[in-house]
Amino acid sequence: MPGPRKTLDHDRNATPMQLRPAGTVMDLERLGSLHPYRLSFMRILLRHVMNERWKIRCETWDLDAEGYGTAIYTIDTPHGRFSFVVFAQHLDSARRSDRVIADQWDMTVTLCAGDVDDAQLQMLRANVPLQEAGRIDARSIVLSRANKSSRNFDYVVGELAAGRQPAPASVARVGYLYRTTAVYGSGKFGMADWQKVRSLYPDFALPFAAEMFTCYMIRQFSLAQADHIARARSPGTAVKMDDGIKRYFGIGNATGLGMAPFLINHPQLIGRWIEVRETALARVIQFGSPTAEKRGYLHCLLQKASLHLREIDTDNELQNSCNAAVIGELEDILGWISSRELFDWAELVEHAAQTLGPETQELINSFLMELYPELSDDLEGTLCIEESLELIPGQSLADAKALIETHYDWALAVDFSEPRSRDVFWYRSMEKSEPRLGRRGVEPGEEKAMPLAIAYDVRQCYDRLCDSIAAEDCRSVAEFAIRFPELRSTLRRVQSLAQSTYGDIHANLLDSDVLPIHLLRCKLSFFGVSKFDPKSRLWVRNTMFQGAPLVDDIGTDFADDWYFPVMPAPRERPLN
Amino acid sequence: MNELTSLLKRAFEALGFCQGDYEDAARAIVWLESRGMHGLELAMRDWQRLSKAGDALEVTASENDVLVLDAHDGSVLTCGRSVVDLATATLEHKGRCGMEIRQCYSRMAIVPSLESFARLGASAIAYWQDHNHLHIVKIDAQLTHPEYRRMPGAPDNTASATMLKLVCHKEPQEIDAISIELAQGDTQATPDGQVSSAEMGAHYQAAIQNGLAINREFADRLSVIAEAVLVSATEQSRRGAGEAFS
Repeated sequence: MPGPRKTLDHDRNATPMQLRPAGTVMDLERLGSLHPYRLSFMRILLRHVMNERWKIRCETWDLDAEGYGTAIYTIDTPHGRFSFVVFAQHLDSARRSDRVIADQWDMTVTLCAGDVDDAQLQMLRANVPLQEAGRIDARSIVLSRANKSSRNFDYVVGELAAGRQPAPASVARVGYLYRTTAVYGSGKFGMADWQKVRSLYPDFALPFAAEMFTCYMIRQFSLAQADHIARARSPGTAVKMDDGIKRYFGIGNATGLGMAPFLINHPQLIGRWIEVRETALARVIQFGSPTAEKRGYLHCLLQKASLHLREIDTDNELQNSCNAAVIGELEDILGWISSRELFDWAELVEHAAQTLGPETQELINSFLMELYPELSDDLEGTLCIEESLELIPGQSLADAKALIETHYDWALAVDFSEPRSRDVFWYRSMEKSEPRLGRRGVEPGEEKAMPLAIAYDVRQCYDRLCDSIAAEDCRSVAEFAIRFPELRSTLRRVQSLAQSTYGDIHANLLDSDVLPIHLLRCKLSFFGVSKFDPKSRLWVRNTMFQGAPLVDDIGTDFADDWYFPVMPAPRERPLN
Repeated sequence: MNELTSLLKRAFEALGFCQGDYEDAARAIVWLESRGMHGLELAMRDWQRLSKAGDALEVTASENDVLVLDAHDGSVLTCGRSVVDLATATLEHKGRCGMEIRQCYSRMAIVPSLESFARLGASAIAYWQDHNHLHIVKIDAQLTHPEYRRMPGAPDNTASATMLKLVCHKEPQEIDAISIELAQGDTQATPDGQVSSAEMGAHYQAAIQNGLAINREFADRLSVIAEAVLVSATEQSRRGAGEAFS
């Protein structure tokens, strides 16, 4: 497989970057092994929030004793003013569901540009709690909702009301008070389009920055609400939650198949994110020097990761085994690093590739990039890309065929005559258009399959190209696309992605054994989430912003080391 | 805009359009609407015809260096992109291309694709006639948006009423000459409608800022049509996709 084309650093440095090949990086299991790293979106966001000292104030706190009502925060950023509006309501436990098909939630929120006046608040109050069934306007940037982790929430409020801090070990079991189940942006339900956000709101002009900030504010509200309810319940004995414990709370998230089509429908954007990560890694390997100080820092990070993984509580046996395997491999690699003089990081990366599983390899890669912020942070601005899949109409059929042979050898290697290779299909359900997987020949809906079968479509296109070349019936790709319009989309995808560094994800999504969860984990790693807790091969719970600084920490020293958080030590005596 | 594009894609998909066609048709409508060129009005007007899939676009002849295509009563919403791709291939090979697309409708849908020529450093002009007007769209090299003029005048013949002509050229003066010739067809006529390149750009910026106002009745109609791509939920499909819990 030929190496990648022009990289992000091609014009920047005299020495071309040696990026890992697409055959390695775009393998689905590899993508599902990625861990968050310093250019994950949450990390980037919080560096901006902390370093630029965003001013976040609660302007309206209109909650009753049970924590139900309205809250409005204003946020002053270097380039603008925004408002975060929360509607908290009572929800019967029986109605509480994390499925995207739910229609009521404990909390519904929106992030808006500018201040919110009474008229807008009235409109938001009428529509935000309806979520997908409502209609807001282009002043809103993000729409979201969250449900309580009710056992955890009740426990925490109970402890605070009684004058006690929640036990870190209890917090560790769940790690959040609320879970988001959908975070919408990009013009849905009347909101501002991405083009508007990107051009008019520089503070949120990076991928999913506004969405990540919304989740951060949900976390902020959840902590304040817990304090509020405890105080209302027992004004004489209640204590505020200790900041160290507050920081250990994140926001839960439940991600299912709804996220999967994004990775297939935005191949250039996903490819760019991966290219950025690989470029940062390549820079570290080529230019980073494993001094004693750097090795010591890496040692600390790997130990921290090991402790973090030990603290993960999941009832998924596979994930537990995976975490245990990584913990074991981290011990091995710590010993290996300590036992020798490393001349360059390539030695470590090579050794890891030979002896360790992909999860541990990618964990090490994430931490290598932490050692050299100066080699990665400038790549932040390259995470966005104008997506456009365009046909190269004048290309010959022979050249188009060769492109497929070069860049889609993985797709051509699939034997689609084997029933297992086309065992499943993707479809959209009547229930809120939720993407689902069906078994071909068993479940209904095959004729309405979503166009996510890239490997199969490429195969069809390739076979037809071969036939046309043999028949000499088309002189160019343009003529071919006119004769076979059903192949035009595939052909322009192939041609466009051949010009990118990494191209398509190497996976046959129709395979009987396909694990969509790898797609979800890939995207979630770019978001920066942690504590993956798979509930099936189709959906995963995870935690966002656990360990992150609080709003009250803005303006204090910021070490940017909140990732892979570990349980805070319990206080020796309760606070008064 | 993104929301409307998604809805239109699903609606066209529900009508049976293939992926490339529904993607291009949806983008063309939103492009026109966001540039003040009434894309939604076009879609609403021609929706009944769009629901009937016709034969695919066909290259039928080459006459005097002009490629003749037959759209078989098809919409330019679906074949416009292919037409421009073919013209681009010829342009790159010969430096120019003339095309006549016969038996087509929704001819305004060619406009969004013209920027492809500008990106290649070429100029292009597309023109067509309906009952009362001659419509002319021209784009110059490196510009983002074309300019549009509508001249009063009846079609020459029946065939002209369903024909679209397209010329692209690496030499801008060749396109300018055609534009002047079209305008001088009737020395008394002045445009009774026009949208400049700058105006299209301004419309687009306003659409980014404020979003697009969508005819709710049409949007609801599209949503109902789009439901045809959805599959009824079953207990089996819900299982494993995510559990309810508290």
